[in-house]
Amino acid sequence: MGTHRARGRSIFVSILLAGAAVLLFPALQGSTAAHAEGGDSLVAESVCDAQRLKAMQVEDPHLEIEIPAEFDRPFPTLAACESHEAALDPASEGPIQPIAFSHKHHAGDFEIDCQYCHSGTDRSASAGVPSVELCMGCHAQFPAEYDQLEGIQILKEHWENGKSIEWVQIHRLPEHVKFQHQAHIRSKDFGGPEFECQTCHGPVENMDKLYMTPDTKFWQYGLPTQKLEMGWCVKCHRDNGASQDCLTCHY
Amino acid sequence: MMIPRNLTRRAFAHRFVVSALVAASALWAFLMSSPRRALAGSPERERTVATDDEKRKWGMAIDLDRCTGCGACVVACRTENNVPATGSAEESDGTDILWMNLLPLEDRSEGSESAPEMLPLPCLHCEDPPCVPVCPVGATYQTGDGIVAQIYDRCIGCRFCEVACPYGVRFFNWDAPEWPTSHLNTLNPDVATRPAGVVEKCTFCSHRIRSVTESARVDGVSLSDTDFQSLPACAESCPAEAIVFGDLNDPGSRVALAATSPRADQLLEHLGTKPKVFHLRRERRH
Repeated sequence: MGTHRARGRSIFVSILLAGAAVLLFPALQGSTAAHAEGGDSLVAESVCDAQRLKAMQVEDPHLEIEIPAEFDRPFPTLAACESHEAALDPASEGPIQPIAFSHKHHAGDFEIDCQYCHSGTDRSASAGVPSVELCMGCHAQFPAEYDQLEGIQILKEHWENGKSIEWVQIHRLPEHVKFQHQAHIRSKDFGGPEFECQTCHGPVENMDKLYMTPDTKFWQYGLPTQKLEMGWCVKCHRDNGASQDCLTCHY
Repeated sequence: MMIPRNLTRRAFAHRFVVSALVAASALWAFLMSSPRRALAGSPERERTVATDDEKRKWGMAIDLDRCTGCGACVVACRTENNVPATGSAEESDGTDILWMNLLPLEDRSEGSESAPEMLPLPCLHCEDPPCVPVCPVGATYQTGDGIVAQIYDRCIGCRFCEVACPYGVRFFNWDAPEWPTSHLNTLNPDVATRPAGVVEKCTFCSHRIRSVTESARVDGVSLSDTDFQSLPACAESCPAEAIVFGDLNDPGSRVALAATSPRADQLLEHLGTKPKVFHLRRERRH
C-alpha cells in the first residue's frame, strides 16, 4: 500500500512539473525569441522594445543587446510603454477605448488627482470627462518621442481636427437612476462620512484598462449584490443614515 | 399522520434529520428576508442628518386674475419634463399627456360678459392624495416635503391611480415616447423619459427643487422664499407671474400668503383631498 501511494505521488508531481514546464516554455521563449537575431544579440524594433531590452540587460548583464540609434531615446518610458500596451490588451477585462489610456499610469504612477481631469466631481452631479484640451495641456509639453505611442498619435489627431474623443462609458446607470457626485464626494463637509472615488469605482489607480470591479457582497437579506445595483446603493444609504426616499435617485 | 408500518428506526431517524434541516433552512430564509428586519433599525441607523426637506411643504398658487391663458406654462412643462409633443390625433382619442393642462372655464352666471377664463391645472399634490393608497405596488407615495411622487420603474401600469384622481392629472403612457430626431438633443437630461405602460404626472419639478436645495446644502447657503418662487418650469415661464411656488410652512412666503387670501380656492374642496395648489379666483369685473 505504502509504496503504491509513494509511487503515485511521485508520478503526480512529475506530471505537474511537466505541465508547468510546457506552460512556461513558450512564455520564456516569447519574451526573448522575438528580438533574437543572428543567434546572440537582441535587436530593438521600437523605442518601447529598446526600453524593455535595457531593463532585461540590467537584470542579466551578460545579455547582448543592439539598439539602433533612432530607438535609443529616454522617452517614452518603459512604464508608459507597458501601460499603453496593457490598455490595448483585448484579453484583459473591460472594453477597448478609442485611446489606449491607462488610469494606472496617470492616477497610479504619477498620482494625478482624480479631480484634475474629472473636475466636476465636487461641484456637479456628473464627474465629467476631460476635454481634449485638458489632455493636451500636459501632452503638448511632452517630448516629441512620445508620438511613438499610438494613443498619443490619436490624441493629437483629435486635437488637430477639433474633435472630441468618444470614450466608452464603464460606470453607467440606467436612465431612471440619477447619481449626484457632489453630494457624495462632499458629504464629509456637512457631517456625512468621507467617500473615496474607489468606493464605487474600484482601484482605478491599478487599472491599465478600466473596468467595473465586480464586488459581490452578501447584504442582510441573504442575497448577493453587485456594485452600482440598487441593493448596494440602498445598503450604503441605510448604513450612513442617508435618504431612502425613492425620489432621491429616481426622477 | 401517515406513517408506513414498515418504517425502520434508521429510516425514521434519516427522515427526521432531513425534514429538520429543511425546516431550519426555510425558517432561516424567512427570517433573513422578513421586512421586519429592514424596519427594525437600531437607533444609530436612524437618520442622523435631518434635512430641511422635511420641514418644508411645497405648494403653488395660481392667480387666475393674472393668467392670460397664453399657454407658456404648458409648453415649458412639456419641454422641461421630456413629455413628447403630441398632435390632434392624441388629443381626440384622449391619450394626450399634459402634466400642466389649460382648461377653458365658462362663466355661466347670468348677464356675464367676462372674457373666457383659462384654468392652469397641474397635479395638485394633495395632502391626502386619493391616488396613493390605491397603488398596489407602492409606485406612488408622498415625500416628506409633500410632493406626490411617481416612481416609473416601479409602476405596473394598472391605472388605479388615474381612476382614483378626481382631477384627471395622471396620465397613462399608451405609447413609447417619440420625438423628431431634431429634438433628441434638446431633451432634458435631468428628467428620465417614461416608457410605455406607466402612469406619469407632474412632479412640482422635483429635480429642480433637488438641484437647488442640494447645491445650497453643499455650499452651505441658506435659501429664502425668493429662490423658490419661480422654481418650477411653469412658474418660471409665466410672463404674467400668475404662478407662485414656495414653502407653505413658511408663513412669510408668497405662496403661503396667497393660500390664505380670501380669493384662494382649492379645487373640489369638499372631497377632502386638501390640494396644495391654490387657485386664486378671478375678481368680478363689470
